Amino acid sequence: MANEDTLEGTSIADTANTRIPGGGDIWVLIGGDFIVFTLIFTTYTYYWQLDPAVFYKSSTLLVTDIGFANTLLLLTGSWLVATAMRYFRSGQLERAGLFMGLASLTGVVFLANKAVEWTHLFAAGNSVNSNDYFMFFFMLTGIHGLHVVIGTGVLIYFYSRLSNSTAVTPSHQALEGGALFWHLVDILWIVLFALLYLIS
Amino acid sequence: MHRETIIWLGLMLATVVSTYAVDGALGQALPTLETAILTSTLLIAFVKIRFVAYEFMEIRTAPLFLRLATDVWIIATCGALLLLAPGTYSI
Repeated sequence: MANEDTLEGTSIADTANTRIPGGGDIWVLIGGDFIVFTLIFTTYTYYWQLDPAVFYKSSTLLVTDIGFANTLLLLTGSWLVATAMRYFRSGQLERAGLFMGLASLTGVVFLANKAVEWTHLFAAGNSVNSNDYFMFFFMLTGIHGLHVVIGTGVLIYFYSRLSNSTAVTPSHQALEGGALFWHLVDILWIVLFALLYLIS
Repeated sequence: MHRETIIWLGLMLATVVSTYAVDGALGQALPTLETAILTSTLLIAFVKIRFVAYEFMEIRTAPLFLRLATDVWIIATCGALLLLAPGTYSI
């Protein structure tokens, strides 16, 4: 049976096409999340087709720059986590911790942006009851925001463990699982940004 | 430059182009190309997703079934959204 520790310092290419990233269990969560979000994305698009004028008018009330900034933040967060994993595999734990910490900051700033956006929308009189567009907007960005909160918390935990030389280092599989979840959050936002801010 | 950094820069550039060139400038200048702009924006989004999955999630080196499942999800979701969105493909 392969010991997790033997993966540290091993290049990904050495285990090409045989190893499931993060182990099999995390993919039940990730696969389930992808399926649920696909159902919500398609339901949103179906309702958009039924009333494109209201969806267009409502989407113009959003500030594209905020969605754009949040997209760049999550892409940067994904890159920082991928870099952290490279450092971890090469045994540079403190540097891996630093990059996990920086990635968690992208989650914090994302949530701050989202709070500002929601506050402005509520202040302008929009709510989940306004119309179908805003019902979907607040529901989708709310569920996604919850994912960002969880992912950010996991990254902060990794940062605290990897930066403290006396703390127990998380396993390679645990780190990969957390990293995969963070990339899932990024992927879901890429779809949300295109659907809610750009094409509607 | 490390591979993940090149991928990240490409993803950032694609986001800028998609937001301000395709959907922004082109969408305002040529509103009659609405369907083409919608299609391009969605395709760029799902190409970005494939890069995030294959490179950052390490699907590139994962077993075949996981690579296939990823591609099926990307094609099915993008296809469903294109077919359902208002426009010439609408079902």
